[in-house]
Amino acid sequence: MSAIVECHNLTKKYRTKTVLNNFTATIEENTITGLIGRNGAGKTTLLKILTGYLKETSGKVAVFSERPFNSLKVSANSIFVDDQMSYPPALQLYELIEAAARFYPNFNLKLAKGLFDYFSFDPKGYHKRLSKGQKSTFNAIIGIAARCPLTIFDEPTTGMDEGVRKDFYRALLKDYLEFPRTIIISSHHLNEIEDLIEDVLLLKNGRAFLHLPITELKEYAIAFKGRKDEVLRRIGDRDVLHKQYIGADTMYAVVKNDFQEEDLEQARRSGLEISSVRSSDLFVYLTKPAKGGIDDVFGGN
Amino acid sequence: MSLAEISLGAAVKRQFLFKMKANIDVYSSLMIMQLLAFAISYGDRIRYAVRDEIFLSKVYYYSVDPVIGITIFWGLVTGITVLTKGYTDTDFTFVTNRLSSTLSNILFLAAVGLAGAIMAMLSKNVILLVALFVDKADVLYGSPMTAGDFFLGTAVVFLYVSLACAIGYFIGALVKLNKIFVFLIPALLIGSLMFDAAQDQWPLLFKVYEFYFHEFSLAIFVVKVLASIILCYLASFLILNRMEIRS
Repeated sequence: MSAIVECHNLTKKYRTKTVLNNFTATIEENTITGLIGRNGAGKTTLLKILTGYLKETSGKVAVFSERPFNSLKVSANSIFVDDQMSYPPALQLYELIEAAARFYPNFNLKLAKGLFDYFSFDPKGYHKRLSKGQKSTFNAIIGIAARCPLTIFDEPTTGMDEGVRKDFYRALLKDYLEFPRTIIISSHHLNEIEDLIEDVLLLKNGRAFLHLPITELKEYAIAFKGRKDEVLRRIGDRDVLHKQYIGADTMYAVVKNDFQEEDLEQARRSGLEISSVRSSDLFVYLTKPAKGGIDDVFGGN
Repeated sequence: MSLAEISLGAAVKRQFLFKMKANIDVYSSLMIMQLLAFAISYGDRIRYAVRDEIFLSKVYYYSVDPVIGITIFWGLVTGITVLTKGYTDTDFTFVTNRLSSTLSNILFLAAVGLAGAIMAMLSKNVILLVALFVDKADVLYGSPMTAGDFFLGTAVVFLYVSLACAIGYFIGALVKLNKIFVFLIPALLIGSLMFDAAQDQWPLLFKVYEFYFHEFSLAIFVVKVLASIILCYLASFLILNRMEIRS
C-alpha cells in the first residue's frame, strides 16, 4: 500500500482566520476514510486543498506525490463531490453524465445510467430544477461512476431522504468493492458512515486530532456509572471526556480506555456499571468546545 | 490502481469541445444582438429622393457597420462572461487546471469570435437581399464583394472581435482579483473622459480608438492587434493562475 494523500504541517489561513493549523496526516491507497469534525473544523477547506481548488498557506501537501494546486494529474484522477457542484445550465442531466464520462477515464457509463434510472431522474431534466436532495443524489452518481483513484465526498447526503441515504452508502460500498479506490467522505454524522468507513480522521481546531481505524475508535473510550466518589476514585487523574450527574449521588463519566482488565473487574465488583461508548457519542465528547456545554448558555440552572 | 496520465493538449481539447456544446447561450446572444443591430441598420438607412420632370428616384444608403460594431461589443461582453463564477466553477467540476482552463477559454472565444465575424460579414448579403425584395431596388451600387474582399473583411472583423474578447477577458480577470474593479473600471473610463473634457484635450479613449481603428497599414494593424490580444491573455493568465476556486 502506498500513500495517496500526504500532508505535513499543512496550514491554511484566510486573512485573519487560521482554518488548518499544522495538519499532518497520511491516507493510504484503497481505504475509505471518514473525515469528521464539527462545523467549521476545516473539513471542506482540507478537501478543497486536496483537489487543488484552494492553495495551502504553508506546509506540504501531496496527492499522488504531486502538489495538487494546478496539477492536471491530480485533477484527472480525483473528483470532489459536494452540493455546490456547478454545471452548465444549458445541458440536460443526461448530457452532463455523458460530459463527465468524456472527462474521467475510468467513468462507468453503464453504472451511472443504472443509478440514474434507479433514482428516477428525467434524462431531459435540468440540474438547476432539481430539489436539494436530488441535486446531491445526482452529484453522488457522478462521484461514484467517475471511479476516480481519489474520490472525495464532502457532506454528500445533504438534503437526501433516509431511503436515498441508505441506497447511496450501499451503492458506494458495492462499487468500492468492485473497483477499489481511495475514498474520503466527510460528515458530521458519524453514526451514518461508521459502518462504511475503515478509518476515522477526526479534525479539531484545524488539526488531525485522531486518526485511527474505526474499530479502535469503538474501543477508544469507556464509561463508568455509579456512586460519584467511587467513579472518581476509579478514573483517577484521567481526562474526563464527558460527565453527567444522575440524581444526587450517581455519576456517569467517560474516559479514555487504558485500563487493565483486572482494574475493570475490581471496579465492577465495587458496584460500578461499565459500558462501551457509541462512537457517535464519543465524537461529540471529543469535539466539544473546551469548556461547558449548551446548558451553560442558559445559566446552568 | 494505475493513474490516468493526461496531457495538457488533451485536457484543453476536451474542455474546448465541452464549452462549444455547453455555452449555447453565447451563440444565441450573438444572434439576437446581430438581428437587433441589423434591424437598426436597416431602419436607419439613409434615404432621399431626387425628382426631375419625368422620374422620381429614391436613393437608399445601406450600411452594416452597426452589425459589426455590435459584434465587437458582444465580444467584449462574452470575454467578461466566461470568467463569471458559474463558468469558472463549471470548469473545475471536471478535469482542468488553470492553464488548461485559460487556453480552452481562448480557443472558445476565438471560435465564437470567428462565427460572429463571418455572420457580421454575411449580413451585408442579407441587407442586399432586403434592398432587392423589400425596398424593391432596381439598381444596386456599391463596393462589389469578391471572395478575397470577404475573407479579408472577415479577418479584420475577427481581429477586432478577438481584441474585444481579450480585453473583456482581462476585465473579467481583474474583477476576479478584486470585486472593486466592477466599479473602478467604469469609473476610470468615465472619469478619464470627464478629465480630458475639463482639460479641453483630445480624450485618451479616442486616442486608443484611433490607435486601433485608424490604422491604414494592414501589417501594422495586425501586429498591433495581435500584440494587444496576447498581452491581455497573458496578463489574465498570470492573475488567474493564482486564483482559488469556490473559496
